[in-house]
Amino acid sequence: MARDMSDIDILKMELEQLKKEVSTPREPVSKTSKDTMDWCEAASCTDLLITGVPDDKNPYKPEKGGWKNIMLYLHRNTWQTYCSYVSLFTGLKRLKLERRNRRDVH
Amino acid sequence: ILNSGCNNNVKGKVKGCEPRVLSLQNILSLILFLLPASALTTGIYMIFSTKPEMATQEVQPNETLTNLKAESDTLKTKLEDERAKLHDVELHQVAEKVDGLGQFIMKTRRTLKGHGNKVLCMDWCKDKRRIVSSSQDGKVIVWDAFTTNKEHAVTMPCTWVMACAYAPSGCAVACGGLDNKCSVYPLSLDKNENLAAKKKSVAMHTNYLSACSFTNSDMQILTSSGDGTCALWDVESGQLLQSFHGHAADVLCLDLAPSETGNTFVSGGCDKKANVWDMRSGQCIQSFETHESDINSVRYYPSGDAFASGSDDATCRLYDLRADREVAIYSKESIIFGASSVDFSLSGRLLFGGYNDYTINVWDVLKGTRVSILFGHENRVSTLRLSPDGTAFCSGSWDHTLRIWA
Repeated sequence: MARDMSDIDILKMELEQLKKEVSTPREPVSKTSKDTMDWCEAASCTDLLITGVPDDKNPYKPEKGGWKNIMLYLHRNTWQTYCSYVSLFTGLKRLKLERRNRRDVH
Repeated sequence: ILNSGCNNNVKGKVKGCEPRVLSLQNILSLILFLLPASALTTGIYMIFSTKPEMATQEVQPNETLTNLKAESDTLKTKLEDERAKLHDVELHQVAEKVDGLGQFIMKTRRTLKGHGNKVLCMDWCKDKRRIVSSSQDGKVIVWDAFTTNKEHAVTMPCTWVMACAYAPSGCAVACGGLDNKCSVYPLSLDKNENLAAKKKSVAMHTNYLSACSFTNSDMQILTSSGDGTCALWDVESGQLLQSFHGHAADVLCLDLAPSETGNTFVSGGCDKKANVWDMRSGQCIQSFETHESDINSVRYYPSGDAFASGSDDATCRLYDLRADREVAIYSKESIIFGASSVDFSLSGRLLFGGYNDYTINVWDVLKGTRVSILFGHENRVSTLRLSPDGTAFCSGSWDHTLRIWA
């Protein structure tokens, strides 16, 4: 509708609005800024982005597929890790032996 | 004529000249002569008398335009003077005694991939977990932010779905764009159900829908449009409850006041103005025009006494409603791209701004300084919203993804 209005109509609308606004009650900036600041300080303790959230409470903190996460997971399962390392090591050794045997056979 | 009947040899023969008699013939000839003459004179008079009138009619419209402009300029200066009288201190001066914020580290914790085109708008559900997002290709997707699973997907019949909103109950989503309408889709637990079949068209505008938002209930929806108006609709009947006229150009964004403070909302438009409206009366209560370009996004301060706006002039500004003026500008010379969306943290200490240079700048609201820049998106950031519990915020971008930062 603003697109259909002529320049005069738009100016008249703005003029009426300005007439209303000149008489609105206003407070000094020092008072309102102080109020805003006080409100902000009071609410800061509830603002989790400022106070921070411990990782285990934050639903987003365990990143899916991050490197840190993998290490954490591995650390938590040290016995499993140990076993897997051991099996990997023994498997590699067996492979080496097999290769040596094959060479000797040839 | 009278002498025509007289003898021509007048000289020396005046005594001999017979006096002319006004006979009938003569009278008739007199009248005949005078008639066209009089007609001519009256005609000429009429032409001359109307000409000045027409001249004044042509001058009138120009005079009214200039008169109106002059009057509005004088009122504007008067308004500025009134406002300036109360501008005794700057916000950052008052906030000097506040502790500075420590180092701020936020990273992308989740990336929601699935949209086939630019993500234009997103909204959180009140359960702090679900997100609805809309994109240029007409798809509206409901995600679970914790698991990044898609829960529902709807294809709208139009492209450029620029507005989407989640109902407070979590049972419906509203979206709209180039189709000039706002459609409400009730969400069901059954994933196989065709959501498009239950669509309800609520709002009808004469130009594109730029933003929509549910009020405190599922029953009313507030929309803003490219036709320069905002409107309040009843969802059930589709009836227009209130319309808000006052912008001189497209309205690009709106935000409802936090529920404690009452029935007002703020809208920003391409006419560089941000207007605060009373929802019941439809009147514009306050208006602010300090931006130098289109206002892309407005957001109320959590206390309800102020609001921030992000604009194409690369600045974000904070306006105090009780002091009726702009109290802070968040800008840097290195930032030259416009801000497309802004949001506050829960306490209002931080202002997050998504910019067209692919970054998100985090500003300290009270001190006016930049706290942090967040990189990650590969195209301009189009939308940004804080989660309802304030633990994270989600940003949508033209690189087809949404990122959750915490």
